[in-house]
Amino acid sequence: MGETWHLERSRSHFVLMDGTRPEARTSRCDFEGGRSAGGGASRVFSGPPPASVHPRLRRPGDPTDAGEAGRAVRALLAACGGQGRLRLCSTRTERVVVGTTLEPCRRTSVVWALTGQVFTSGGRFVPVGWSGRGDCLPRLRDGELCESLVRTVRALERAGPCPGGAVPAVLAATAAGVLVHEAAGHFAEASPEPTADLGHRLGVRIGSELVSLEDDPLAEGGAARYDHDDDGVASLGPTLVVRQGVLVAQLHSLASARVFGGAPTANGRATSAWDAPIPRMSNLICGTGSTPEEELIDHMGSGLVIHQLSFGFSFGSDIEARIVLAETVERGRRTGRLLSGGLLAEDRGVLRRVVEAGDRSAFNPNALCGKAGQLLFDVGTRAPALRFAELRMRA
Amino acid sequence: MKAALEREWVRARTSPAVPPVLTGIRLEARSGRAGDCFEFGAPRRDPAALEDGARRELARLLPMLPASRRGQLAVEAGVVRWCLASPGGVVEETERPYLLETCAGSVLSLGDHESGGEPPWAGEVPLAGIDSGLPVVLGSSAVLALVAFFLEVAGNLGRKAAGPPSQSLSVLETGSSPYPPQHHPYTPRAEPAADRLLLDGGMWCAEEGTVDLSFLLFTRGERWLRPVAATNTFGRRNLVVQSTVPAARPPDALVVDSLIPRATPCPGTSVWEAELSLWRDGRVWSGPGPRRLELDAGRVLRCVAGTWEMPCPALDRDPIEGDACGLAPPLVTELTAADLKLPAERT
Repeated sequence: MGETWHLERSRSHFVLMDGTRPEARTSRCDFEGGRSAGGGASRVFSGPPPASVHPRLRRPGDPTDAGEAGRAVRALLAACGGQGRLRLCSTRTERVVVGTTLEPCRRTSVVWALTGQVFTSGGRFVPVGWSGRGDCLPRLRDGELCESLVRTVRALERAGPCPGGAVPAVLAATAAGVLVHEAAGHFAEASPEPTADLGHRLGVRIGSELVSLEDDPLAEGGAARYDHDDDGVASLGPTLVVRQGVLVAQLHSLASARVFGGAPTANGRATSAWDAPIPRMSNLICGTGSTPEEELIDHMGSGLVIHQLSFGFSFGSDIEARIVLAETVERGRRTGRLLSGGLLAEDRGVLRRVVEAGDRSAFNPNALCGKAGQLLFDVGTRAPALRFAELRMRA
Repeated sequence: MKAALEREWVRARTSPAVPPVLTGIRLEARSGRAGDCFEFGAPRRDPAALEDGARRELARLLPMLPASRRGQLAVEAGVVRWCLASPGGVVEETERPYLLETCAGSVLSLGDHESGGEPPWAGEVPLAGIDSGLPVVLGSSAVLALVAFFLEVAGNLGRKAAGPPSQSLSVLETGSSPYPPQHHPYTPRAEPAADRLLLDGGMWCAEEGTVDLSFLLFTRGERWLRPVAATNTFGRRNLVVQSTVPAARPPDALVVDSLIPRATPCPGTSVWEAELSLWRDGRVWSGPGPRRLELDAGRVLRCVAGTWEMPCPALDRDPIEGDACGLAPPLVTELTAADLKLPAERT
């Protein structure tokens, strides 16, 4: 096998906003570099590749108007009370893979992420994690998204502590996305280890019959959008991964498909040209049910409706997420009593307890996903509100 | 544009299961009123020249390791060169060669020599059936990981949520590092950066720092394309942990060599992946591979009794942000092996 070259040029803008300073600090980073593998030692380098390697990439333009982005971040923090720390990273990147049996394929993308915290007047911390593709400015100025953050900050000022234990619960659509991503999405990914075959997972029931999932790199409105993955493999359309609760397909990179003895599914994704593509979700789409969210709450009777989760995490069979905002429900009605601060402490079988699915789905505004040391900005998850027979929480 | 910083890092990294990785990165920064500009370019030095030395060290060390640890050996030979310039010319130019040898999260040796040390383990023993009353010692890397996790909880959820800090420890955030690729004691304007005392004797000291982008790009250059400190709240992530409380080294102990958090930073008990050793009969025995432990980082640190050693190089292995090298002493705790509730099976 000959050498494969993954090349990249990019321009990134960074905006750091600290509530203690009046102005945002902006920085710019221009990158050129790549990675070669297949000829003994692999090489990771900055700067241009050897003269014999083609095609050459041009220096990309700005991913956004950095000045405007700084003002938008400052305005967002001011709307939330002015206290907090926000960090914006926006990157325009062009990549090409050369030397595989596939035709060299160029990909241009613009991705961004806003992370950090906003502090409430009562000293609580509200995590901020928004990310996606394209120019960040329309999202930073998206009135609905910004208002939802302001509402969360205000709600947290009067929220009580979350109790521990197992309770019936309805997850709002974006919160359900966190759990679906952790419990099913990562389970459907083939191993990032080049020698491990996780094919034995096929046929395993990971959700109730109400749970069906597909992975679609071209899903409308999704954070990911690509027709070729970072291995240079063309997407042939959505991959049905979970049918009525059963894992029916895995998401593969070129390398994992080789180990498995199957075809790649255009899910080889890498944070940068310096990282080897590993099997990752693109946009995970959870099928909807037929019940409006208010009816899910009505059918639950008593329990919790969880509006927002953050810091989803899965390791082995453990699934965790921090409860940012929840509300108690009694006799099928929201009580207005808000809760915050607990931890959803679940296991891989949590989606088997889905008893009803909402009729509308939404993308989670946070498309950040870290795995095997690689953090992607653009892993979309769209899910409907889901009602669970019970969810386990830790106070 | 005012000051200029230039840094070049070349290394050869070898480990048993994968082909060597040769890395060559050069990064320049200029600081101005409009902000800082960074640019990656071609390094002048070829890392291939370092490959033979790294391979030799790998071959020397492998036979000395217990079987369960061999796959986790890594040898890295590198050179870091940096140059600070002002409009008047070069202010400082430094070059530091180094050799780093790590195994399962423990630093075996770190220095500027061509050959490192020897692994501490005399062999491998099962941990089932060990004396449940054995004292628990935290190895340097375990200490660093627990402290970093504790600081993350405070940074993400507030100091009150993290609970009181250990009275036996002080923690310094610094730009300096024993690991040359992560050593960068400068501000974005290329001026010397001051250290910040975060914790001392059970008290919080400095306020949380603003994320230092220049520091992160220069010292974590291989992870440049991340939302800046997306998953942590550190201004800088080079930590020095110290204990002023003297304690005798126990002759026999269960040692937590290193820890990787397998949970999001939160108060209370979290899941960790641990590498364990046993001190017995005056020798060090390796446990049979990684174990799952459930630990409350804040509580474990509050159970620290003291140390008999100065801080030494240690690794905090963050699954997302990557390895951070710092300094920490091994610590004796008031915990016993029974408190760790060792699971019977390997993770």
